[in-house]
Amino acid sequence: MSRLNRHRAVALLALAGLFLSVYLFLYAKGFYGFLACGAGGGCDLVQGSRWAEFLGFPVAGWGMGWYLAVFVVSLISVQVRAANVDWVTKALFCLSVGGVGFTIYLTALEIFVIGAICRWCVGSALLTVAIFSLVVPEAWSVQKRRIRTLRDAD
Amino acid sequence: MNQQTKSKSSERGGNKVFLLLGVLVVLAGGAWLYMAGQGSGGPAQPLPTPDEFEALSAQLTGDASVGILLGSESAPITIEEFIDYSCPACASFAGFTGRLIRQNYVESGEGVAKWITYDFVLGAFPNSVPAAMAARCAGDQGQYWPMHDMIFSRQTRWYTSNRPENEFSGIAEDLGLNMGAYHACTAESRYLQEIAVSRKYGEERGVGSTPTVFVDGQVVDLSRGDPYQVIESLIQNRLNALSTDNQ
Repeated sequence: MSRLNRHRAVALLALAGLFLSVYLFLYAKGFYGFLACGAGGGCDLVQGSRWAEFLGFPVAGWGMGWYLAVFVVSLISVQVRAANVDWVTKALFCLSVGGVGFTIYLTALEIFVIGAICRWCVGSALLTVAIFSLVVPEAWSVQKRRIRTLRDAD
Repeated sequence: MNQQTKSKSSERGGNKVFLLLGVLVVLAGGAWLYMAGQGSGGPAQPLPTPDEFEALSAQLTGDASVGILLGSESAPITIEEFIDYSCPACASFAGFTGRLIRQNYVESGEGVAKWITYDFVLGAFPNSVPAAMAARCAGDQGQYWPMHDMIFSRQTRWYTSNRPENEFSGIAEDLGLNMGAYHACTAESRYLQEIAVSRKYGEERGVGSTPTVFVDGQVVDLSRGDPYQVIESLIQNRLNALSTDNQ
């Protein structure tokens, strides 16, 4: 997959994730009476737990901010002029590492502390991992190119 | 030059597909959020805190008609239970003794007894009113008793939760309820008054804890032995007394 297409895919995944986190955020703020999760879906336990907030703000709100940031950066990167600029790749890489790290933390809480899995959180985790897996190979190639340039300079 | 033109045209084509997919995601996401909002019953009317509920109940007058009846109105024996859905002893009672008595004396056999459940919301549990509301709203669709049983059997999943309504909605979904009607009922707190009247009625009957069970007006001492046998022997005594009266 070309670099441009990877960035396009990241933008679309981030857009889908943005809607998902908006849904959870609206629920957390009481705009929705309930969360469509099914009995035993675990959403009640997870969203009702004290870990549903991080630094005093709903986790879904942090998710919204994260998806929005990824979407904006990837949207910039799909502009042909910016597609080959390394800072875009670096920014996406930093964001996706942060996202995956936070996802691991939240999933560990669900499994080991809360004892329930919320299917919307699983959906968001999958999107985050997909974004990460699209960004990492490119970040790796940028890094390799940088090393090569440094070697050549020597 | 020719290759550059080809590449540019491929970029433009790619951008078109990207834009199209973006529009599709936005439309699908927007529609989904809108439909989720419609189906969730909108923002729920906040239920009273335990203190507010007690204050509301104190203003009302008890009324036996707010109880939920199971069995035939004309059954000779009346069993009444006063419950709080969050109370562990009530869950234990409902899961075994209550279910067996209902099966053996109310729903099957000659239907010698009718069973009436009253909500007796204790001040200690913040999720009791939403639980009672969920059960009564399921009752609108003829599913009070399955809801009653499932709320109790899943008590540990919701009773300390900040948002217990998800679990209740999940149960309602499992029971095949019309979710729009169910959420309309819970969102408007349709049975708040009845639940408060039920509590007041219990107080007027001298109920102080849950579960409290009456057999033909006589309070059952559930600590006297095996609750099933205690209730069964009271039912048998009442049946004997009734048959003696008839002779």
